[in-house]
Amino acid sequence: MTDQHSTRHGADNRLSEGAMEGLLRDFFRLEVPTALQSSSAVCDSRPVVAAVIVGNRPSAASRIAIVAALVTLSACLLLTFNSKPAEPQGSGVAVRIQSPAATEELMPVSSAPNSKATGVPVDENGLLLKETEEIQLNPQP
Amino acid sequence: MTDWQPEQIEAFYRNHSRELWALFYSMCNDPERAYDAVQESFAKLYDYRGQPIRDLKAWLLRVGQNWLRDAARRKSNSVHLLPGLDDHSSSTLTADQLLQLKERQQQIREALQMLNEDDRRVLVMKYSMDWSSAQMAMVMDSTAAAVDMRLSRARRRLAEILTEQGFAND
Repeated sequence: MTDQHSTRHGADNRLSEGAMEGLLRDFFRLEVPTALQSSSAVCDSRPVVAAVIVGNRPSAASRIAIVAALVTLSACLLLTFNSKPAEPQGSGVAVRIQSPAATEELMPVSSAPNSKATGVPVDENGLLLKETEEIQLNPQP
Repeated sequence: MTDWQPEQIEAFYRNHSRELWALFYSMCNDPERAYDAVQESFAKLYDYRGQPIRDLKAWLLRVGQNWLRDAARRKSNSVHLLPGLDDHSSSTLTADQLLQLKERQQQIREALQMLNEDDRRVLVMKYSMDWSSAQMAMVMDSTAAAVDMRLSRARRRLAEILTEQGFAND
């Protein structure tokens, strides 16, 4: 009895499990009509679903482009929200003039020269806005 | 889905015709007849003008089963052409080798016929459809473990039948 024979047959000369597996696969490979042997004719929800997912999945290049676009959009939104001034209280536009560490006290500054805001003191010494225009930034010795 | 359009039927055929063939084959043990049953059931579907069909697979199965029953009654003698050998006809196989292959297929086919229908069905689904035990369990309303046991038993029983018939697995 050869080794090949012993692997194919059990002690009672019956075909082994492995031999039966191979026999049945070979049998049905020839038995199934050629017209039905294409992979698409195999009913399996998994391949069908997988094919749909793969078909709809964007390519690597387009995925990178999408991610880059999202990152750019996020950055733009962050910049927009960070630079956006607070809503004004009363007339005029308020700007932050103190350091971030300090408490935020907004000083009303108006672009209109004759607005009431020009009469509002801009510091603790009661300096008015119109008076600040007379301050020389580079005083001569 | 109750109103089936031609393109939907074609898509269903592409996705399910092999499964239907396997189920018909397990009933009649004849590859040609099972294939004819598939074609007949879809042909009837194209011509169907009755009540809306809710479960298309079940409908096709019923139509195919009825056709198989009628075909068995007619006792038509079909020639087993072994479609899978089409590619071999112009290959290096000699006429004797092709004949031996045909006889071998017939021997296994007859041995399968001697199994009970459930045993035959699991073997057909497993080895013609490459279904997992879980998939077969769903179709047979059973568990994967029970399907595995049935598969093992069916293989063993088929091996016994082939051995009794002097089958040579060369």
